[in-house]
Amino acid sequence: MGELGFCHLSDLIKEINLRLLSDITTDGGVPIWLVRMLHNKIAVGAFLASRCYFQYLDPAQIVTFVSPFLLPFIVYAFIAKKGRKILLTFILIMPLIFIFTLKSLSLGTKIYLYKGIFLLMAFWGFMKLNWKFRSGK
Amino acid sequence: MSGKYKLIIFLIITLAAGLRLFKVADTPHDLYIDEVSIGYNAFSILKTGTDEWGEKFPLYFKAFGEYKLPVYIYTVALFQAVLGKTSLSVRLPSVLAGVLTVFFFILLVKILSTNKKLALLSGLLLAVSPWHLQFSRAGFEASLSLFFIVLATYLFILGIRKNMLFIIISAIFFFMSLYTYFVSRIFVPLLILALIIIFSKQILALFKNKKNIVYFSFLTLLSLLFVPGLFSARGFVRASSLSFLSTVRISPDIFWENRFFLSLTAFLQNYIKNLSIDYLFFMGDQQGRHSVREIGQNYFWLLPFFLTGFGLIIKNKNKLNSLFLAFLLITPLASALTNINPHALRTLYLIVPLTFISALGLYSLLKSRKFFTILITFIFTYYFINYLHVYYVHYPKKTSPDWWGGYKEAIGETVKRSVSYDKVYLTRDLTFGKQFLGFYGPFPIPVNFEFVSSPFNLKDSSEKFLYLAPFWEKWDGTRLMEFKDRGGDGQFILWEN
Repeated sequence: MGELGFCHLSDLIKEINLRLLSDITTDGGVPIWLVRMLHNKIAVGAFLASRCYFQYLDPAQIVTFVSPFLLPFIVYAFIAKKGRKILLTFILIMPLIFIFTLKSLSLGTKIYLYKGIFLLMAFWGFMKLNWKFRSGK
Repeated sequence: MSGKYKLIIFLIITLAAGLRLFKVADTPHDLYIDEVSIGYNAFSILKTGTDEWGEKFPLYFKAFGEYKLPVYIYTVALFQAVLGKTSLSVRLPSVLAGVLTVFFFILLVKILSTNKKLALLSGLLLAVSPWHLQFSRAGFEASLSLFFIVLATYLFILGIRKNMLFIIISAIFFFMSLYTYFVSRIFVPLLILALIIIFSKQILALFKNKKNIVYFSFLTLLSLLFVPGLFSARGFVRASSLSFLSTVRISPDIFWENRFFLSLTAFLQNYIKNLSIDYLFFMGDQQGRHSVREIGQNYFWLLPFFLTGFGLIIKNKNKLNSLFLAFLLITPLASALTNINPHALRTLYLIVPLTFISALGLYSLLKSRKFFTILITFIFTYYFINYLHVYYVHYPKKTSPDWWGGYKEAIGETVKRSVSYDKVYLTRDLTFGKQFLGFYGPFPIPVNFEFVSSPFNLKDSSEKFLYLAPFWEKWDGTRLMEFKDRGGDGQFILWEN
């Protein structure tokens, strides 16, 4: 969903409508009450909205733009206790920023922004690991 | 086991069996080419003792040149002895393996966690898992292999706690999995290594008993029986044709774009793709036979529980959590070495840790929270019904070509009518026509059946013959029937001259 996985609210709304149209068309011969029960904006919207959100946190999406060798440092940034709460809060809010704002940014800028966030996290994870080894804990 | 616990297990197994057996022979699709090849070779073994190429009781079945592994084919031959050359005989081993996997998965979680509720919840989630249903409702060797692995793991745990004899039996099933599905040749040795590391203290304690040393010696001799066949050249044909290295493009002018670095990067990216959230919980494998494509390999609403459960297994490093973490980390390795990722069939073993971790997260959040239990039950029921609807209504229409839709009807009708004709010509557009004809038609293939290139030019107009043509061909004869796939797309037309 969205260009190269950068889903915006407008992409989500478009996708919900397309999906409903496709599903209802495929359901030729199915009782209408069942079609309405299974293919409605709430159920489909919940599914696609979750998909749109988690695309930003998907490891596969991350390694598309960031070297997979940095992934252990990104993971460590969340494991180590120092600053974990702030980091977790930021990472949970980050997709919402991309989804509800930033539509006017070009794809290239979004990629650099996304890449930059995870590079910073990798750096933070690396520093935490470095402190841990230096302190001998 | 208490009566109530046994009753719930029985209900879960009944649900698993019902979901896997319902219209399994032809729904959502008839057999696809690999299943037909398995069925054809199995029947050939049953009737003549040789495979389709004339090799007597082979260890590796040549088939299309990829050399299929033997266990599933010989198992199908046993079923065909009772059920005949039918679609059910090809799929039933996978179905039964799927049902038994659910049962032994419950026992495995129970023996490790001693938590009955967690075990039952894990079993229930596996019974209704879209990923497991997809592959246990068709003749996939991976389903049987998964059963062997879950059973072997359970017996291994039983062996180190009770009697080493169970470890011998466990080893037999591990070895059988190696001859059932190629991926297990990478997965199983690593899993065994993980088991040895996790249960090292218990294993060392076993050797204090002299009787166990005898058992261990027997185990070593058993390995000598099974291991040599693994190194046959035929066993490497499939792997070499699928290697991911063929997709790596080096750039000799750029220092860091050398083969080693790029290969390692490609491998890691392939590995991560198999753990992608979008693939596992939202869209699934987009290959038409591997998922329904509108739902992930697992239900999306399980994702928060999976993440919770994952946090718990990282935090609490006990043997149970370590085993499933090992399962999770080892499984994608084999698929990462191949050229297509993510791949739902090659990472089927991921269903075990995924289901357990989701169940763990679900259990930890739901215990003594009645409101959430009711809410989750509603969400579970709703999306389960939705999945069944997608599987039985959408999926057949959208993926019929991936399952060779229309082939069975075309071959069946042609064979039925062939008795009244001197000759039957079949188009070479009927991909793998010989195998389809060998399975759905008479065995051996009658001599008056011939494959021809299309468009077909009339050879002898006085001869009375049938011609099964591709849908696009406008042939000069009497049109008898046309055959479409379940999506309504034309596949073949049967003509007579």
